[in-house]
This record gives sequence, structure tokens and C-alpha cells, in this order.
Amino acid sequence: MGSDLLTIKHLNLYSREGSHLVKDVSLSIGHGETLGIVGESGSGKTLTLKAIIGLLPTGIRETCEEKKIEGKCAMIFQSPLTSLDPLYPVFRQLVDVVEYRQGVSRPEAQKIAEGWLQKLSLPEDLAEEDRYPGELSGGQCQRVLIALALATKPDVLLCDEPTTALDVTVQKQVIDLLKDLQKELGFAMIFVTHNLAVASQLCERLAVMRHGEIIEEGRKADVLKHPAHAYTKELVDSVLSVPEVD
Amino acid sequence: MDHMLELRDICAYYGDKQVLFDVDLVIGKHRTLGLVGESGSGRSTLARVVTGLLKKSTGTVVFDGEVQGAKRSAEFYRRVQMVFQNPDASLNPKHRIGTILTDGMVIQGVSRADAMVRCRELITRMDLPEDTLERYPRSFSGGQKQRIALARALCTDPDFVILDEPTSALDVSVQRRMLDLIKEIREERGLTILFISHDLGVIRDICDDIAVLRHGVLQETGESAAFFASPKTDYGRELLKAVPRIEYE
Amino acid sequence: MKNSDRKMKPSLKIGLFLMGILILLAITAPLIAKYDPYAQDLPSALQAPSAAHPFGTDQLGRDILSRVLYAARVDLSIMVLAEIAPFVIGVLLGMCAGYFGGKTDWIISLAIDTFIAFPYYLLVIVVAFATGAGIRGIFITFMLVGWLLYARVAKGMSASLRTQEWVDAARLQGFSDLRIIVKEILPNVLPQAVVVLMTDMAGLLVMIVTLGYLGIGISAPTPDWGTMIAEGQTMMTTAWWISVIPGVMVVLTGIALSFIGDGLADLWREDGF
Repeated sequence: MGSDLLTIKHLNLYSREGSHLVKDVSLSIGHGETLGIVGESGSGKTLTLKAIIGLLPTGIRETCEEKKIEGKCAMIFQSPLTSLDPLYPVFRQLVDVVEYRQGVSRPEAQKIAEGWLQKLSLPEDLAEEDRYPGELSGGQCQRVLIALALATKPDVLLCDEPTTALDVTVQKQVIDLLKDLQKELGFAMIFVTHNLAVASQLCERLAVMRHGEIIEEGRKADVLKHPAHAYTKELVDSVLSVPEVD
Repeated sequence: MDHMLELRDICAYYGDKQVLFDVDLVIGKHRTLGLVGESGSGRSTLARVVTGLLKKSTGTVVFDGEVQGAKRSAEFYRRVQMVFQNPDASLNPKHRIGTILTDGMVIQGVSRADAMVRCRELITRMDLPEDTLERYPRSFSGGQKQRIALARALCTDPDFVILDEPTSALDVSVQRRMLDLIKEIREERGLTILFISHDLGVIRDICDDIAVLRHGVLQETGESAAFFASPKTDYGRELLKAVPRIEYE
Repeated sequence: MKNSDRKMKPSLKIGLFLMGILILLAITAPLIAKYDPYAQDLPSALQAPSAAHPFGTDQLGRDILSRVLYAARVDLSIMVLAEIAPFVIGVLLGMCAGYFGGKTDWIISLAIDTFIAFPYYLLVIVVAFATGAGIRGIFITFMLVGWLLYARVAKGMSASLRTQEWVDAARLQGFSDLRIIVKEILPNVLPQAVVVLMTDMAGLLVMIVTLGYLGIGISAPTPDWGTMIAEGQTMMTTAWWISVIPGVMVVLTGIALSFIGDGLADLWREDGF
């Protein structure tokens, strides 16, 4: 691939007690690409993501041979309700972010923010009658967070299990939304999840993590159809299938 | 068919808010019924009504042919047990596993020594480490804690077990093992199970029958196979469609 | 993991060590003290610390060391005894309020709010005047207000514990409410309550001493740190030891108790509390 947007080489993370949390992780992603990092709890997938954006918890020691990030990153998190300031109406949060990050005037920011409401199928009366995060549903809050992240015009969107806390029907809407937005805006995406099915719907490439290591990485079709590692096979087999409906 | 549990016109309230609306449901003996719904559908509330934990409800609960009053009998609590969703919250952090498991039996009149013997059998059956009974809950993984919770539910040798999202907090590979264990135990003991879940994949794997709940209203019930072949309601169809499937290409 | 496997924090060690010494001194006071704490010896009044009187003597010639040690017996035992009933009552009422909620909670909370509205020291002074100065006043007052703190802590914790799944599980085992409160909830509330107890004991000691100082607590000639401080205050510049030595004892006890409280809190926090 041509120019990589983001390159991480030999990332290692250690806890304060010295345990090796993330081992020799190398990643790269180009413009408009999507990479899914799949793993179970304690695999180090979320820590890897936090290391990329520089949000590591205190006490974690980091060594990295090369960390090249060209362009802007934005991140969305697992729990939509705790990621929004509860004392701050959502539309105002959105307008503030647009105004600050895009350096436009207040009325202009207002207009851009209204555009985002529409794009994310959020209730458009939020612009007139703003509401607090607690007054919105989980799915709506997650959309607001996606809008906040995308309003910074990122080149790479980092997603940490953004659909895990949502109901399946809402999860489907958010997945479809992310797909559409990515097609339209062309950002690259790193999507961390424990759910192989969700990752397979969103990503072209998959990396499987276990105990802090990437044990397998490749094109989605290769990883899923011909898993090289026994653990990947176990993960694929663990997905409980349901039949298609017309 | 003989019914283990029959619910008639169940309404339930949290404060002034009604969360269940005239729910009618039957579970046949030795059947596993999957209760599906999204958040706020009232599925956990229904379990609390069945077990008598939620007092503010109306309607009739019939267990094995007997209408249950507001206060359940000791015999009811021996025959009906439950496993909860959150492995970290379902075991008292201040008690050793041995105490947690035997207390229920002791109150049923089993001697502490006999209870310990039965616990050891269960621990072995659940593939838990040998020193489990002497340890405190915090030293176990989520999957182990759920198996301990299942062991506690089985201690009193119940006929009917309610499993409230017993695998949702677990990793997928651990979930698979837990489901297999539940299936084996169900065969061994001839259990009737009410299995609550939001995950249709899990429901399909383990349940004979299915009931779909939405905003406190029962949408449809029927055999699981029939539902997965063709849901009767639009909402059932929507739920089924929304399940993420692996896309290979 | 067992309790002994976890490392004790230095603060807990220091606190326990200090408190141990203070209690030991109080218990063995008759053996250590060379003089009768009540014995007046006017010719040797106001002597500075010396070999015969390591902490000097007061204006009546009484040995300060002996008096400070006997005062430790009085003050520390009142401190502990006066806490027992409020601790037990407060924790029990708080747990009932938190666990049952509803009407029980309403009544107990009303009682808490009512008593909390009384100005603490004013109440102490009123009771002291009503019952006469002395130990009885301290016990009665503290019985009235001491349980509030424990009730509030226990209520808050029990209310959040009540919704835990293991409490539901206990109900499904057929346990009675009483058994759930005592065997399931109490072990979880107790650590926090004990931490509060340590802090509160320090506060109670200060109250006992303050009352003694004001002349409405333990009355002379019974040795008490508070009355000793009061007796010496007019002679601070000439005979500092009369007030300073008992003052140091109060401070040491306070430090010991807060260290123990902090240390226990740290220890139990690692436990997930």
C-alpha cells in the first residue's frame, strides 16, 4: 500500500508491577482502510488503542520502536453514557467541538452541527431544544459521540467496542451508520471488539489478539476462512450462528 | 403436556411505572424456554416476579400445578433456583465459596458435613479447582464465578432453574463451554429452564421454546425452531435480522 | 488469598504500635506510676521535670507522670465504652433502613435528620448541666448523637448492597431478612464502619478532653487530660509541663487512631471496598 497514515512498530506495554501487557505489537493502516482488532478480555486490544491515541492509564510503561501518526485521530468509547458530560446539553457539546476544532464562527459551527444531526439520524429538534445526555437513549448518545469524533475531521477513527453496550437492533443501526459514513467521508478506522461477527461486517483486515500479542493478521476472508492459528479457529467456531431471514 | 410454570396476566410495577403488561406464558416440564428482549423489555423483571423477589405485581403464578401466594414456601425455594447475569455481583465477597454453597442446604435441613460432600461433587462436576471451597470469590475468573453460581443453584437439587443472562459477561470461548455445561447438567438432572438472554445465537443454541418480550409486552411465543425459520411478528423478524453474522467477503 | 498474605500498610503498623503502647501504659499505670495521682505534696509543687518527677509536678505537688498515666486509664476507657452502644445501635439501625427501605427507612432517616439538627456541643453542655458534670453526661450525650454517623454510613452501604445479585441469591436460598442482614450484609458493612469508628473515637476523645477543660466533664480531682490542661494553662510560661504533657498524650492518641483508620481503609480497599 502507498502512504501509511499510521504505523506502530514493536509496541510494548508494561504494568507498574512489571507484567507484560502488550507484546511487540506492530500495526499499520492506510487512507480509508479498516482494521479490526479482535480479542477477548485481557488480550490488550483496548490498551493498544489507548497507546495509539496517548490515553494510557497512569502507571503503564510504554516502549515503542516507531510510532508514526500522520493526520488526526479521534476515538469513540464503549460506554456512551459515561463518555458524555452529563451536565452539558449534547447539541452544545457538538457545536463547541466544531467551533473549537474547525476554527469557525459560532453561527457557522451551529450550521455544521445541524448537518451532523441529520447525517447521524439524530432528532433534528435537538438544535432548537437541546437535551442532556441522560435524556437520550444509549443508541442516540453513541451517535452523538460518533458525531463529536467525526466533527474533528479525523483521518483515523479509533473505535473501542462502540456497539457492545447497545441492543442488537441499535447495534445494527450504528454499524450501518459507520459503514455509510466511512464510505462518504473516507476516514480510516481501527475497530476494537470482542465480537468477530461485528468486526467482519466493518473491516477489510482483521488482527486477532491474545494475551497481549497479535497472533494472526490478514485479509478478512483469509483469517475467517482459513485461520492459521488454533485460537482464531476457536473464536470463529464460538460465534453462535443464526439463520438468515428474508 | 404438563406445565412446570404457568403465568397468567402478569403485570409488574417499579414505583408507579408499569413494566410488564398482561404477560401470559407457560413452560412445559423438562423444556427450556428462551426469553428474549432488548434492554427495558422487562425480561429480568419477569424473573423477579416468578421468584417472588418483586412484590409489586399482579396476576397468577402457577408452579407445578400450585398457585403461588405473595410469600413463597421454603419448598418453592428448594425447587426453584436462579443464576444471575453479573459474575462479580452474584457471590458475597466476604464469604468463602464453601459457606456460599452450603448455607442454602443447611437451611433446608441438610447437615453441614453432608452439604460439604455434595458441594465437593458439584465442584468436581463443574471442573472447578479442588481448593475452591476454601477460597473467596475475588480469586476466580468470570467464567469460574458463573460456574460457582450455577453450582449454588444446583445445591438444593431444584427442578426449575432461571438463568438470567448467565453467559453475557463472559468471553465467547468461555461462553461456549458454559452453555455446553448447562446442556449436560440439564440432561443429567432433567431440569426445566427459563433462559433469559438478549443474544439470539445463544437462545437458538440452548432453547426448545422461545418468547419475545418488548417494552413489557409479550410479542410472540412458540417453538424455537419455528421462530428461527420464520418469526411470526415484525419485531421478531427485526430482532433476528439485527443479529450480526460473520461476513466472509 | 488470605488476609495475612496482604501487606500491612506502614500507617497501620505505626498506628497499631502507638495505640498498643498507649493502652499498655494505661493498663500498667499502677505498676509504672511511682506516686499516688491524688497525693498532694505542696512543698514539691511546680517542680520542673527531674529524675524524681520525669514530667515534673503541678501546683499541688502531684506527680504529672502518674496523673497522665491514670488519666489515660480514665479517658481511654470512657472513649471506648461510650462508643460501644452508639456503634452497635447505629450500624443496626442503618442496615435496617438501607435494607428494608420504604417506611423503615423513612422513620430512621427522620430520627437521624432530627438529631443531626442539634448543635453537638450545645447538646453536650445542656445534658452536662442537666445531669451534673461528670462521666454520666458524656455517656448520655453520646448515646443520643453518636449513633448518627454509623447509621448514615451503614444505611448508604446497605442500600447499595441490597440491589446486589448475591442478596437476591440469598433470598432465593430461602434466608430470612434477619439472617441476610446479619450474615450477608453485615460482613460487608463492618469494615467501613470500623474505619469510621477509629476516626470517631479520636473525635470523642477530643470532646471528653474539651469538656474536662471547660469544667463540665470529668471533675477534679479525678485525673483527666482535659482538666490537667485547664489547670496548667495559667502557668504556661513558667510551668509548661503541666499542660503540654497531657496535650501531647491527646495528640498521640489522635494520631494513632487516624493511622489505624487510614491503614484499615487502605487494607480493605485492596479487598474491593
